[in-house]
Amino acid sequence: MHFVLLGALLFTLQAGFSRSEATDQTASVDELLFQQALDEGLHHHDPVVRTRLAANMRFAGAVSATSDFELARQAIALGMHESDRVVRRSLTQAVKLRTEQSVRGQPLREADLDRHLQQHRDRFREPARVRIRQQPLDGPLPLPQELPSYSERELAQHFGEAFARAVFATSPHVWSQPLTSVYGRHSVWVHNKTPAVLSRLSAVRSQVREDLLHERGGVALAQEIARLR
Amino acid sequence: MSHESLRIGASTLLFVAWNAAAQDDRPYPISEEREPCAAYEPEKRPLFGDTHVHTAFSFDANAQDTRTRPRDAYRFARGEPIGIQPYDDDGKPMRQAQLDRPLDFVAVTDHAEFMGEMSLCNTPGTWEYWHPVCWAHRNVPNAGVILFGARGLILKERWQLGLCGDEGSDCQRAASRTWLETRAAAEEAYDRTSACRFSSFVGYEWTASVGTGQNLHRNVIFRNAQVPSLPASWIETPSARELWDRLEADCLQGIPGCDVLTIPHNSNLSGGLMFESSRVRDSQANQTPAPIRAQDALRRSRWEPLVEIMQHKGSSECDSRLEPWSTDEACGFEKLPYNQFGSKDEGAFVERQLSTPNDYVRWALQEGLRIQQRLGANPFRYGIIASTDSHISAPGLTAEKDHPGHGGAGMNAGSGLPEGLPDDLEFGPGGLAVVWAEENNRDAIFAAMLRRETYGTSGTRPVVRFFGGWDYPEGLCDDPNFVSEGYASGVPMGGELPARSGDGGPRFALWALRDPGSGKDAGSDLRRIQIIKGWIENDEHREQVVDVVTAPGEAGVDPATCEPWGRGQPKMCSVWQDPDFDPAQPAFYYARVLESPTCRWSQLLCNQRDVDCNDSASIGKGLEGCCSPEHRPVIQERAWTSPIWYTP
Repeated sequence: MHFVLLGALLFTLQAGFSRSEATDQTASVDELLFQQALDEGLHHHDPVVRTRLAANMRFAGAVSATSDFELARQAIALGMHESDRVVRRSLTQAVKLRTEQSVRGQPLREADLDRHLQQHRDRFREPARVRIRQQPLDGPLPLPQELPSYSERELAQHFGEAFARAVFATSPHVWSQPLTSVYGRHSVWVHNKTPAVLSRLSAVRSQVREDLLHERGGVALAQEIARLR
Repeated sequence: MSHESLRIGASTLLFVAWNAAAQDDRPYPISEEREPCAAYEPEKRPLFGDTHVHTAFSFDANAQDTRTRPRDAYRFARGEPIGIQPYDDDGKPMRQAQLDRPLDFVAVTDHAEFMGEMSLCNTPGTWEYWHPVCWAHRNVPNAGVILFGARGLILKERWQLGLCGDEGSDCQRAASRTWLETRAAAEEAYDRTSACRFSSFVGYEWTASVGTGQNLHRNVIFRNAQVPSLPASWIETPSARELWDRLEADCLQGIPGCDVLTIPHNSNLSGGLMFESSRVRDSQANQTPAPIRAQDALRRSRWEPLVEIMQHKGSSECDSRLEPWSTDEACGFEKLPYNQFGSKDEGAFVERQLSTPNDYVRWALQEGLRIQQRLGANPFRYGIIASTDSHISAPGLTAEKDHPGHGGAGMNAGSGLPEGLPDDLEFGPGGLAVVWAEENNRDAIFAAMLRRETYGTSGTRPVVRFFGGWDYPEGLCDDPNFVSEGYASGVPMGGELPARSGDGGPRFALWALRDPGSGKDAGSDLRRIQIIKGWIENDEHREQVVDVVTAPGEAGVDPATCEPWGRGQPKMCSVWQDPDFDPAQPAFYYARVLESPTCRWSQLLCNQRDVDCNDSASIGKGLEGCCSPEHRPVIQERAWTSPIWYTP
């Protein structure tokens, strides 16, 4: 009990500080969501609420009813759900989560994903790439000679930035003049170069989908709160 | 059923028919539905990563006002910028961080303990938001660490009344939401396309802390998205053995396709307990630990193929302040002046004391051989990795330059911009985990971890090959097929030497390439490759450090300007044969690659702020550490490979 009292005291103190407006705003959001849960009758169906209310009733000595359903019904009739903090939080969170996750039930059209992709081109941009064969000229290296398709940044991670820049400036299908990396000189054959492009949706579909759903979930919650006001 | 057979069985069950045809040439089971990687290299490539990262979901990070979450940590690892604390009144971060070299893989490992409490304490509008513990957590610096840490990690109790509810059920429910978000973030970050650019791992940290803050922490890393519905915290599983029991029930036996391993870290802060029995629990911290049994030894070697040898709270390889290593000068690297959190601050719970040899990985490798002789099983058959233990959602942020501090047990930047050094003097940016894998996907990386084909670095990116066999020719370094021959005639790092052939000692083939550097960090040449051999003689630990390759001349750095002088070499290669090999003695061999010295993060900052230790007026507030006797202005970055073992 001393924690409850101390908590109430701290609440009062903090409420006097400059952030009280924001706090009230936050509190009212939760009250709105809680009332929405009651309006929808979620307290009659939520299993966490049912278990909690039944446990409360048993603690209070109500042993005549045998099922949680009946005990929970009696508790609701007594208004116990209005004051129980676990019930309030569970119902508030249920509405929040349901609202955020409601967007996951909506069909995502190809056009939606494509629009999101276009709106966030930097995030889903595929850099220019080059596929090369490198031949060390200053003794062997424990590195593959045939390299996979690398961006300039990836190539720099293996051979240094100067080498990567030089490779990207090299013409394809001819052996280069010696190019210097941090490990010595190399002769390089460029098989092909691929210009920078926006990723194909098919290649990044899951990332675009998650990104879009994350964005929409936040918007949905904000809209729901605005509607409830 | 054994862990190994459960692993194989579970993985086989999950072998997805959809991509089986395309990936059935892989030497490991594919346990997930995904596109086959376009780049597959049978001789493997080094993938750089971080298996130890905390975000706002960790109670200590949260107490320091880390607001970024797992999704942000993965984005950071892939090269995007993130904001880090402190935050201004509008909630905007006052500092930014960004990797100039993205990572290949990451596991976010928030503390399993208090995940629920963090969710409740930081959700405005809930009753728990105003619980005194939560209020103090949000408003009093470090109070959360003390309130949650002291009660939860030492007393092993949750704050039930008004916070977690009866039996902690409210916190468990809240933790499940956090865990769901952690899993979703890993899924979003994982590249399941054929490009295979990035792998994320679902994970958490099991934060066992016994006695007076003796660290028995482990990171729990799952192979794929098949994971238990809740992490197992130290409060519910009070010893490593019980953690493995839970993981075996919940993961290996409970979920088809689920697989998992655990990685101990910071043995340097374990007060001598990390490499004792896995049965050690808090109630027994002050007693002599029970002896390790054969079954426990076997079990441990299977659950823990790796150990984290370096992170932002120092190196755990060895310690030149201690007698066994007083002649190994490289053992003085990034040492802490205490051996447990309880004695971190002067006048704290217990009197300060230095670590003892059994706090270190090299001791454990030797002790493992000794136990193997007695019991037939080696509990400490550790492969090597390193990581950051970042508490600001910044995996792989290991550059010395502009080190912002990784928080956690280090300095707290939650309440304002650090005026001087941004981290405790003894801490640093931490290290990186490197795995040799055929392709960048979860199965390939997890398989590399299981076979210990890994190495750790102190934060730089040298490339190190290390093979052991009996017949490598002297001229192997001149052979363009060095790697093919390395695999064909022996084993890579982490392996067991094949049956002996010939009369001589084993031969070890090493290649090291310097960190190629980046725009922000030029990288350093290599100075030396060493092989550390350990064995048991007359039931006592024995070891030898051999300089296998040394760059000619001298090299160093001028601390006053941080300008390097002298030269190292960009590449080094050698084949070394053990001249003192005794075929009757079990032994291990690992390589240590030392770079040319550079300025440490603290010295870079001291210079940047024009600190002159001969002029007290130049020593600004918070910069006193620049001139303290404990300050180490120079660092010699390095890599440690997993050992190769010999068993008679």
